[in-house]
Amino acid sequence: MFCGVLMAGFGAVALAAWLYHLNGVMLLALAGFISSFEIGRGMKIRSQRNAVNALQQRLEDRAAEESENRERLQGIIGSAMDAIITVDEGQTIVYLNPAAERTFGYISTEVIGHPLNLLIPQRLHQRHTDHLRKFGATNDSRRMAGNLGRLSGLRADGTEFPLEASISSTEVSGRKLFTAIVRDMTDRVQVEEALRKQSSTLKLVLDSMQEGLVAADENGRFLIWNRGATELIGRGPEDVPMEDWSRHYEVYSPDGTTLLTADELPLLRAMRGEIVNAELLIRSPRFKDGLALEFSGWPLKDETGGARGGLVIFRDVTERKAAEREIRKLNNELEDRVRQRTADLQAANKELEAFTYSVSHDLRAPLRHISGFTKILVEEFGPRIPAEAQHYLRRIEEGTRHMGMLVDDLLNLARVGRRDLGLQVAGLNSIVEEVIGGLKFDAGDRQIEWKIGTLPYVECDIALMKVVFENLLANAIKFTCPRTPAIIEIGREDKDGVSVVYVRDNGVGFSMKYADKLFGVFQRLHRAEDFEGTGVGLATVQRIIQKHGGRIWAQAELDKGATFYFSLGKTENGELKANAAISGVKA
Amino acid sequence: MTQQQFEILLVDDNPDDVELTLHALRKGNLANHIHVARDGEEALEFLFSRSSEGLPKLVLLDLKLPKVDGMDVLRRVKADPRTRTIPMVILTSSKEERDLVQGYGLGANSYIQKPVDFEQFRDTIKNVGLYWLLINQVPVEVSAARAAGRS
Repeated sequence: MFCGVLMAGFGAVALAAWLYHLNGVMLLALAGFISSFEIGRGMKIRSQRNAVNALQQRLEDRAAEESENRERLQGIIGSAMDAIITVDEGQTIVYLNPAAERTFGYISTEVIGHPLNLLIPQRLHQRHTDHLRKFGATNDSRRMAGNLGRLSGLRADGTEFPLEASISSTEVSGRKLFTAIVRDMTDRVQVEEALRKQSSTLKLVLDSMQEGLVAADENGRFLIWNRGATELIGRGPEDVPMEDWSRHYEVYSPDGTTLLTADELPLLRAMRGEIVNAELLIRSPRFKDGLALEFSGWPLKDETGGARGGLVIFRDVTERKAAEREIRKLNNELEDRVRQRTADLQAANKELEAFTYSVSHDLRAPLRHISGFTKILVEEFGPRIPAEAQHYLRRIEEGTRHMGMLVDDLLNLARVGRRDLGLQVAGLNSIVEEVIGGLKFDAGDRQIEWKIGTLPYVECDIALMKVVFENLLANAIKFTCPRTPAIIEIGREDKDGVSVVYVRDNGVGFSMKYADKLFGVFQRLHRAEDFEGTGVGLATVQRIIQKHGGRIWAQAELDKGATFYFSLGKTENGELKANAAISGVKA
Repeated sequence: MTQQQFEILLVDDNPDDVELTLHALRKGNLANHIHVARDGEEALEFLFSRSSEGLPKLVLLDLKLPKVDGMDVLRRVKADPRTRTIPMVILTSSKEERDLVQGYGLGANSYIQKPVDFEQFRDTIKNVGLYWLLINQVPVEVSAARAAGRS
């Protein structure tokens, strides 16, 4: 454009125009030549005036330029975010920019001419003064005051705030000035404080964990390695390539002999994106025998789901494993023992069976023979046998009969012991009625008053419950022999919250002194000539009650009758079940 | 050479039992034709050596026997068509449930526990003899064969 005007003024030749198109530089050179040619032809006076004017112009330009510079600088300083404060060598404030006014809460006129200490907390005055003096003494023109550590400023309202400052010295007209650029660090300090707090909380949590926690980025750099990890692994995070982790940290399969391949390491699997659950054995200088560790691992993912490494948590399961081993061992031992005991019991049962079989077969046979031959003797030769001999023969017969009863009762007792309970719900009233029906024959024409209450439905072995009532009621009939009328009462009552059944009679009773002998085998509380018996019946009853999980006991007084109580441990539920069944039918 | 005809085969190894049983049968007028086998083997030999006409009308069988026990005798007798129809009455001291079950399972016709009391024992034997020999009916074929054997 400029060249274009020149060309118009001096009448550009076609060549020039052509050159302009060709080469701008050449054109410029050509124009300069033409111009100096014309000046050369000009007037000297005009040229001098022009020089003064030019000088004038230059001065004006320069002043304008300077003012412009100053304004620009002012603008920059004024709009700076950081506070800028200038002091002289005596530390008197000479300048404050608007940011400094805002930061410290003063307006310039309040502080200019005052000592810098106005803006510095009292306790830091000395330190600051020393620092500034030292700074002035060196020729270092620029130095971070922040190097001394974080400084504090004092606001007009008396509050302190953290700041960071850089300071520079300049000499203006032989006067040394220091300019500090001050940044209010309150926000950053707060952020930093929060961060520090967060990270120390995190560290506290991580280090308080009993579990080991290790996280690594996708390149295998450890991001977290808590205290638990160091303790369990016996080593800290060390700069070892991923493929060597297994060897370095001595990670074995649970058998403790096979070193894991890199592919099998929980952390590497987690880094590959797997969710890992594994048990491993880690040996270390601290744990030569190895620690059994249970690992859980997850991949680390950023918010877009990108793989960012992996995380594993692991805990010591050595004790648990040992306990499990111990339990397994104990279980095996227990099983062995149970097997052994079962075998012993089976053998004992077999023996008992063989014994009862031979008792029933072999002992009864000679009894039968004695009884038989005695009878034949009496029948065939009776009239010829002296009366005294006949008496002995009767005694022999009586003895065999009694022994026959003993053998039968003992066999019954043995059978009760061996028998498995066939439990079903039954009403005791119907059992009692059936048993009484069978016993009426034994009672003959005796006068017996039966008082039968409402008895419960219970879960029991019906055949064995019959044996119980047969014995108890036969006893009641037997021991009320001297009474007219005999009163036999069968009922139910609650004793200490337990439902019990009782059989009460007004017979001869017995002294409670001997109550402990009542249920013993072959134990009798009455002389045979008074009351016949084998001493096995109540032992059998007790065995049956115990097999039902219950208890039997007696209350008696000599000559004032006896009461036998029994509970059936299994009746509570049985009773409920039975009642439910009955009400169900009713409904 | 006609075989001697036996009404009853008594299988028992105990001489006292044998004597008491024979006494009881005598008292019931049933002791005319009794053969006694003292163990299971002897009983089987006796039964299987006879023609069908010579078979007894009743076997009283004890269970605990030397050599071949009562259950085995029962099994063999009931397994053979020639002897299957002979009434087999178990007469034993045992009243073990398993003996009862096994005995009936093998086809015993009765199971009787020898009572300890001799009077009862005597009555029992008499009743058993009367029942099986006189009251009980056997198929015509069998009774005809027996009649032929006797003549």
